[in-house]
Amino acid sequence: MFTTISIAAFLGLFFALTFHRFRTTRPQSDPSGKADASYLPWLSTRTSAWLKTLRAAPLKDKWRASPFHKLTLLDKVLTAGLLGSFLYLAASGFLAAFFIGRGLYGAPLILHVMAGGIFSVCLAAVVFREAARFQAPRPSIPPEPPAPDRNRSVTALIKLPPLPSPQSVRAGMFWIFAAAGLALIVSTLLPMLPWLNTRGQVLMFETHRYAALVSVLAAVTFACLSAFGKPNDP
Amino acid sequence: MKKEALVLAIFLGAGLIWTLLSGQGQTPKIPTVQPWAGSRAEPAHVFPLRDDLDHLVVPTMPYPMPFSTRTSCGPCHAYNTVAGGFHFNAAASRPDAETASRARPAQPWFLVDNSTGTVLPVSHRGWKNTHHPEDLGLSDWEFTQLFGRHLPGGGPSEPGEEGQDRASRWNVSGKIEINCLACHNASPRQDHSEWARQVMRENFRWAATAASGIAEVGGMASRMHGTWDVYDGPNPDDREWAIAPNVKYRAEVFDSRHYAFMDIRRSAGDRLCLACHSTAPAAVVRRPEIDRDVHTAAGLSCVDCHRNDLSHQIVRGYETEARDMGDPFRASLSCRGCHMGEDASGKKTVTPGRLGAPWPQHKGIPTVHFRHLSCTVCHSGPKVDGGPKPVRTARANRLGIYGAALWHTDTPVIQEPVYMKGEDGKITPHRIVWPSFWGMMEGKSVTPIRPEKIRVAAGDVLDPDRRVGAILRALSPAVEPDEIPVLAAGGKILRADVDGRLAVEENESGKTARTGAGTDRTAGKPESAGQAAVTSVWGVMKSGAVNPLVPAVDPEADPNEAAYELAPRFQAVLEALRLVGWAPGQPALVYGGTTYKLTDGFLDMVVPEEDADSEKAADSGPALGWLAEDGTIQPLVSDFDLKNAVQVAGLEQALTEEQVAAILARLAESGSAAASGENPSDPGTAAVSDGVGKPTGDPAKSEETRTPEDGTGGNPNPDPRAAPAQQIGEPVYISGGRLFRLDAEGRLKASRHDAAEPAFWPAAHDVRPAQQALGWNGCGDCHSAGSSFFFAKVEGAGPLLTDKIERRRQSAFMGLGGLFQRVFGLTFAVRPVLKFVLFAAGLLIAGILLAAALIFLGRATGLAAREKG
Repeated sequence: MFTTISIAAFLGLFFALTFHRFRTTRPQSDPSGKADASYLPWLSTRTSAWLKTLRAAPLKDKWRASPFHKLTLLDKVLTAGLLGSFLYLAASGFLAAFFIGRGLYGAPLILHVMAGGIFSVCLAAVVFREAARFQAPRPSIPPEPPAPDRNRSVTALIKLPPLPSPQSVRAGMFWIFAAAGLALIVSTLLPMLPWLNTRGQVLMFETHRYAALVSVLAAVTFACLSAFGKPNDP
Repeated sequence: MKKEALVLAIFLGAGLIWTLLSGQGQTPKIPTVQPWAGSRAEPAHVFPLRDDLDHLVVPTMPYPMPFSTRTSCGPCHAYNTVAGGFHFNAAASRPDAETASRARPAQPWFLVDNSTGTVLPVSHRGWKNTHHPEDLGLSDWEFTQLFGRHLPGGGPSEPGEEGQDRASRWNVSGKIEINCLACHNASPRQDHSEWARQVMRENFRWAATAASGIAEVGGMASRMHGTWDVYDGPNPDDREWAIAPNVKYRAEVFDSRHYAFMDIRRSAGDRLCLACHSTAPAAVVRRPEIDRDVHTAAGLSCVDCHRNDLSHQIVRGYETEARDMGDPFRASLSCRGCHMGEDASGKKTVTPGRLGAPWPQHKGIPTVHFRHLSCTVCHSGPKVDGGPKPVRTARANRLGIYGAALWHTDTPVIQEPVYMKGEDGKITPHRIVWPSFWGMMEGKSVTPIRPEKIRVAAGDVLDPDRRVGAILRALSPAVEPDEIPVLAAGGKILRADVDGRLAVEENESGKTARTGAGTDRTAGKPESAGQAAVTSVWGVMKSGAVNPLVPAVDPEADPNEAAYELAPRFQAVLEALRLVGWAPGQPALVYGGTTYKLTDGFLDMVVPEEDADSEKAADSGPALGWLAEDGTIQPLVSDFDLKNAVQVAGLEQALTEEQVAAILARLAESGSAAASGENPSDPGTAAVSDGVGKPTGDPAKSEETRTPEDGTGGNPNPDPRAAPAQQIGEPVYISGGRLFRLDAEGRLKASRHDAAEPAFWPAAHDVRPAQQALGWNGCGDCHSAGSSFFFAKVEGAGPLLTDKIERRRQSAFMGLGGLFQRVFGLTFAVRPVLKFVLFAAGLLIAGILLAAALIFLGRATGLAAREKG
């Protein structure tokens, strides 16, 4: 069940993010929607191009070009700690959940627990330092609504609220990631205490798995929006 | 028409093949029995007792017959259906190796022979590391003789015509039918001890009658001639020794119709189960220290969980039993089913809480434990503190047989708990027994050799302690009533125990016993044997002090005068020594150069001619020995006997490496003699010349398997099994988890071998209360760098005194990496730090999240200040 949900979620996120990229990188929008049909060829082309780019540019150059070098030492440590531990936690956890019947065990489990400790510390520090950046925007006085155009059709009057901006989504993902991280920490800590009976243990185990899934989805969304966000996005 | 016939034939053939194939590998089916009508009442059992010819037993008749359960119980309770039950069907068919390896083992039988150092796990069911009786050449008759004391009857003890070999005496003893009363007779007169005694007297046909308490049974079938038959009646010519088994029923049990009232119940109480299924730690010698199983303490009886119907396929109670037996009901009677309502796969398909079973909280126990551990790991058996402990079980160690004689034994040494993966892949506490036996190795397989053959081949290499013990027992009349004859040797004071072996009285005076008392000497050849010399003194112990058996006198005194004063003592000692069964000559005492011996009951002196040697001898103290035919004096016990007896005295081991090497050499000699067609009639010289010397007696002859003293009588028939070992292959000995063999230089070498692996079976009782469960004190009960659960050493136990034994950690038995578990255990040392870190991080993140949420809510609802546009 968890495997199915996870795979569906990952695929869904992948297509959502790539489609978003597809829609936002075209020169002009096509109100007819016919151009949407070219999404899959676009995805194929971009994927192969991305793979070529990966092969073409040496990792060393990419590493030098990454914004990591612009960070302060503390930020470097926190970023490395958070990213490294999170990558290992996600990889070991999901690979074990998908491919190993008995789940995570042995040395990978010990490393998983150790990485969990690092992750919790780094996450707390990052959330503490970055919380202000991702606060909800201060509300401004809304502009006066335009006068109704009597010549417009009825359908034009029914207007959906605008999609949130990528920046808002990123902020949302940040807080979802933080909340999922908290759930991960709680679902790790509580089973170690002599409080929960078997049902509680099972609940915590499931909480841990799904919180991990949510945190990965949030992190991926956050990272993609950060890396491929529209240039004119705020 | 032909086409139709062909189609029909193909159809039928396919059906037949499908039927045959579908039957293979299926789980044993429980026989269909008549459905229960619904009454929970138990009937009074007033019924006619019948003998095995289905004749009414009339207790008032002269020489009445014992009752037969087949004909007395059978009319209402189908005997053959009962015979298919787990207690009785072991020998019904021999399972193939694969089926047997998948089956959940139970405790096997143990063929124990202390003299030869044999502990062989025996089972008809083919469980791993056990030996099938057929492979050992054990006939049903021998099997019943060995284990009938704790057999419930039926199976091998009730063989058909094909099970009656020439050496058996079934026609004299009768067969042991299924003893229904052993489990269902609620009368307090039901007596398992009487059952055991009757079985050992070969009163097989009479055993159930005697044990039920409704009759007295006298006589011994074991003493009857092989042609005697029960219908021959008593022997009028012998009222002292060969008395035929006879029955005297208690009249008050019968009514005027000769119907007997017996208090027979479906569940007759745990007492009867425990007669064969008791288990207790060997170290606990005070009954009050033992608690009951928590289920028993809660008021449950054994059969509340271990249920059965007439099929007697009793519920064993393990998790996968429902699957194995094809009976879903059984899932509710496992620990997991009853307490958690889960079947073996963890699905909630079972009604929990039978008989008020509480729901376990298991607070703080991660669920991974329930996937990989059986419930019994944490809750059953002795705690693992410090490693597995020896336990005794009724069937292995002959517990529960009461009387003047002590029946219980220390061997086999059963160790518990040893954590191993069970047949369901879960780690389960097991009891294990390391086998020890002599065998012939061909290629990689080792074929055990029966102890009788080893005894013949080994001759006087075995039982040196018995020979020393025999001397000490013989000396008892020669000392004062408050004195005990002892042998002070090797820092030990040895005395004879009731079995004629040696017991040790550790005593400081023994360690410092004076060596100038006259009867001392030094045994062994340190340079050749590589061991310290053994100095010995025959003495008497009184009030904890040891004095020489033959007192030393003042060296300044006149020897003749001193000898005159000591003459009564000399005579008493020499007379006593004449009773030693294995004596190679008449006893003699050399003192002051004079040899004293008994001639026609009188003390006789042989004075040597005076020369330099005699003067030297005159200065020496008194020395006891045996007068050989050539006039020389041999020591009371050989150097070999003395050295080896002292080494193993007071220990659970019975053999030394020197003995094993000597016996292996003799076996190799007899094996090669057999291969070359020679008669290996002289089993002991060259290979054991060092320290053994010429045989000084045949312990195999002096030792009876059963003696009249233990109330069982001796077998008047010769034992055809005791032919010399003539197997082809390399002789080996297995003990303590190692295989011992001689190398090219004749030295003893030890190695690992599959045949030395222990027999094992899961243990489930006694169930401890929750407060004594593993994990009650936290994760550290198991997860620590030095945890007994993972790292306690399991050491191979065996009769051989050696340091070459198998030593394994518990984690090795579990099939887990020891290094990983140690590292994992270490992580628990820093776990409090991890908890604190997680708590602090979680608290900080929760606080920030709460603040952010409040801000978000404030701004979204407009409660927070708005910027001017």
